[in-house]
Amino acid sequence: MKPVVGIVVSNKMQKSVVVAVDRLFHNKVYNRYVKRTSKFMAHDETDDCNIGDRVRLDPSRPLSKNKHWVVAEVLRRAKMYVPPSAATASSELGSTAQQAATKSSA
Amino acid sequence: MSRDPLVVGNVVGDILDPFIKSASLKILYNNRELTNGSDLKPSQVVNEPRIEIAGRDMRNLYTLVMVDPDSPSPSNPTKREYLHWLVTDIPESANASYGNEIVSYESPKPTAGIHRFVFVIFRQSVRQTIDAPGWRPNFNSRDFSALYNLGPPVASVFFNCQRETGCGGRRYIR
Repeated sequence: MKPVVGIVVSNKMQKSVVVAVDRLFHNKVYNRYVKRTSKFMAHDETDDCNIGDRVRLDPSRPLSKNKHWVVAEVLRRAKMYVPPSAATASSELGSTAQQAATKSSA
Repeated sequence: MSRDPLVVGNVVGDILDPFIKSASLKILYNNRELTNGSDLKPSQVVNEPRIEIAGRDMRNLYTLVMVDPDSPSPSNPTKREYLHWLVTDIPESANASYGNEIVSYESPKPTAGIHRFVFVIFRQSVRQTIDAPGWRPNFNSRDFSALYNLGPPVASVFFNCQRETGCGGRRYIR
C-alpha cells in the first residue's frame, strides 16, 4: 500500500479521524474520468486534525477493527471562518482593555 | 511503492533496528506457514510452532526469541517486550526442538487490542551459555543481542492476534 492524501471529514473520536480519499478512474465505455471516494479511519496520535484539513496517510498495522492508517502529516489546514461581527467584537474588547490598563497606570 | 511488512507493522523501530535479512525462517502453526501480518486466533497458537531455518550447514547455530511488544495493551504497552519463548543453539536445517530451550513457550493470550507477536532469529558465532531472564515482562531484544554479542537479527516474522470472544461492547440480555 502506498501513502494516500485526503480530507478529514470527521474528528469526533479520540485519537482517530475519518479521511475521505478521492480517486479518478477511466471509464472505457463512456470515455470519461469518474470520481470515487473512499473513507478511511486513521490514527491521529496528537489529536490536532480538524474537519477540512488535507492530510497524508501512511499504511500501518491493524490498530483496531477498522483502523489501519496513520496520519503522517497535515499538508494544509482548513480555513476557519470567523464572522466579521466576532472579529470586530474581539478587537473592541482588546481596545477597551488597553484603555482600562492605561487609566489604572495613570 | 511496496513497503517491507516489518516496517509497516512497526516491528522495525519498536523492537528491532533496520537489518538485512540473511536467513530463511519458516514458522508453522498446525502445519500452516506463517506470513508477516497474518491474523491468528489464540486457539490456533496454543501449542508451540515448528521452526525451520533453511540451510545445509549444521554447524551454524541460531537463537530464537518470541516477544509481544503490545503487552498488556497496544495503547499503553507498559510490559513491552513480553518474552514468550527463548531457544538457543538451534542448528541450521534443523527444527527448534533440537535447540536448547531457555524460556518455555507461553501461548499468546491478548486481553485488549490487536497484539503483534514477533519471532526473531540471531546467528550465534559460537555455542554459548545464555542465562534465563528473571522475568518475562520488559525484555529487550536489542539489549539481549548486545549482551551476548549476537549482532543484528538475520530474519524476523510477526503475526497479529486478538481476543477471540470480541472486545467489550454492551451485551443485551433478552
